[in-house]
Amino acid sequence: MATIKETYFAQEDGSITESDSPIVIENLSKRYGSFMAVDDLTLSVKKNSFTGFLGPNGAGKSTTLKILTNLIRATSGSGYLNGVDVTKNAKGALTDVGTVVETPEFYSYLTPIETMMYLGRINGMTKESLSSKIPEILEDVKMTEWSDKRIGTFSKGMRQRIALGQALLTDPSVIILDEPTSGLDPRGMIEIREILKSLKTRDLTIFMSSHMLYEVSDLCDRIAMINHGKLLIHDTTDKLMNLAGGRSIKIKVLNMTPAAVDEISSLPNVISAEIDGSSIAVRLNGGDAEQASLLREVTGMGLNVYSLSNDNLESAYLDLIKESR
Amino acid sequence: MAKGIGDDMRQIGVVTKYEILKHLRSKRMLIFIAIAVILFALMTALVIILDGKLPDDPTEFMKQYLAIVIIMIIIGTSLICAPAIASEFEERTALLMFPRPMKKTSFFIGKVLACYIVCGAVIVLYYLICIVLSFICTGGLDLNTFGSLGMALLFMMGAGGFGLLMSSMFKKGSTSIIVTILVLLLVFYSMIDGLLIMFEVEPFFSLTYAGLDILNFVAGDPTGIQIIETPMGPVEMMFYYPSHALAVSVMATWAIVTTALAALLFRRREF
Repeated sequence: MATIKETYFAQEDGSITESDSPIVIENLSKRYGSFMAVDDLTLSVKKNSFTGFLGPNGAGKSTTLKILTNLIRATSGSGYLNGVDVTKNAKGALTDVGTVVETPEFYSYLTPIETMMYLGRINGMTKESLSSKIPEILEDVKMTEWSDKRIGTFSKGMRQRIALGQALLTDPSVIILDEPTSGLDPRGMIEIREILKSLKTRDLTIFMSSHMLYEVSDLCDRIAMINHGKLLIHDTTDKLMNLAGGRSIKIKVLNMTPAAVDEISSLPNVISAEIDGSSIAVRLNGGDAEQASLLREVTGMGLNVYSLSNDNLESAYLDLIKESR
Repeated sequence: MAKGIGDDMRQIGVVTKYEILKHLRSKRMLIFIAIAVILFALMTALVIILDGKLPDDPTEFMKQYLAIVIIMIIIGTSLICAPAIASEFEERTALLMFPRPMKKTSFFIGKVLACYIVCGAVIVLYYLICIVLSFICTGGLDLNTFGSLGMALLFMMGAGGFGLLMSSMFKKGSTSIIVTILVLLLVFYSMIDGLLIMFEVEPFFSLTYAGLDILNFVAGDPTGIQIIETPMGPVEMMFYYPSHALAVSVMATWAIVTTALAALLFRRREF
């Protein structure tokens, strides 16, 4: 079987290009004493995908992303960003990459405009291009009215919006996010998620670690799960949602009857339907379209649906993590 | 390759510019300036109280103000240089800076240059004020003051390099500030230099001993036995003063070695 690297066109200088995967992790390992934080991890992130990087605490997500963003050194292996190995040429590899690792702090004496000028100039942007780009970015992250205030006075949520803004400043083709909503209050989380959702329409490859399953299922079209530093699975979100043999949906209705539950179980694509406390637990074949069709059928039956929840990713996640122990 | 080096130089310039801006707006910078002003005022007040007036002779005039320059530089470089590296980790700004397409070495050099420019500017300003006052009060200037300024700037690089080395080793900026002040001011300046001279051994390796040339460039005291008046009568004591060549070599060695070690540790340090 060909290795990931072999699927690329090797260049004379050892870099790899012309790939569908702007992020390629190859046999990456990081050891802390006797503890393997990342253990021979191999993964490629598809171009223009929003890939979630899932795993429990200590699984190796942050370590992997910190290696990719030049914050720590790998014990062995490679991490290619746009074909350049970050472990050998960090400057070259990070040229077209925007990053938000955890909640970065800013220089408290600088304003958002000064900070972005500083970071943009480091990336080689001209003063003229920054003068037109920075207001756009601040508008995108809803920080325009704070543009000339010193960052030292900002809340964590505001700082994280600036962090996202600086990641987008240079119009990178790749964005790496390490738990971007971690530590934020609910409002801050929603604001950041809204910005991230808006990025899905752009020509970007986003690789985001998180342990918030709702966030990942809401934002990501692909998911890579790791535990103990090893990759467990990497596939589309839809396929992972159906991993446990169909989607698991809980429907809450005001006028639930056993007859209605029987009727639901006979609907197309429904594998089973049963009463589960105050809900109807349904297992369904298919994806979003089939789920939408089910909801239409159920409301068409005259049932007053007041809640519908989907715990597929949670089930798949727990099963995979349990298996990997 | 040439483009690569050119880009590195450009990035060093950008880092230096914004680091200077940061320093100029920081509380530590204000403290450094405040300390310089207080030391200057104290020396002036002390001379007026003891002698009734400021000296008329330009050399004597400059000597009184240059006597405190070592202390001022140690405190200043400790405040500016010692937290420069540690704060990137402590305040988590490394999470913002390290993932940029920039060599860590370029970032380090930019930070070092900014520290030296800022500290150097305060020292030059201090000398300028002394020079202006010397013209006003004595009608002249001891031209060796400019040699002394050169020594002060070199001493600043030695002390700053040591501060940066501490900064690369410690997690907290406050710890590296305290350690830098304690080691340079108490261990070297007060203990090692004093004890070795007492036992008639020249502390030729000591940065603070080399720093004595900041004052001695103007004072011009020679190494040798001097008679000191004490309440128990006159006592003969051996006094050591570094030659200009020794002072320059020791301070330059300290600056180069400590800054290079700091760069090495910084490059290897992980977040």
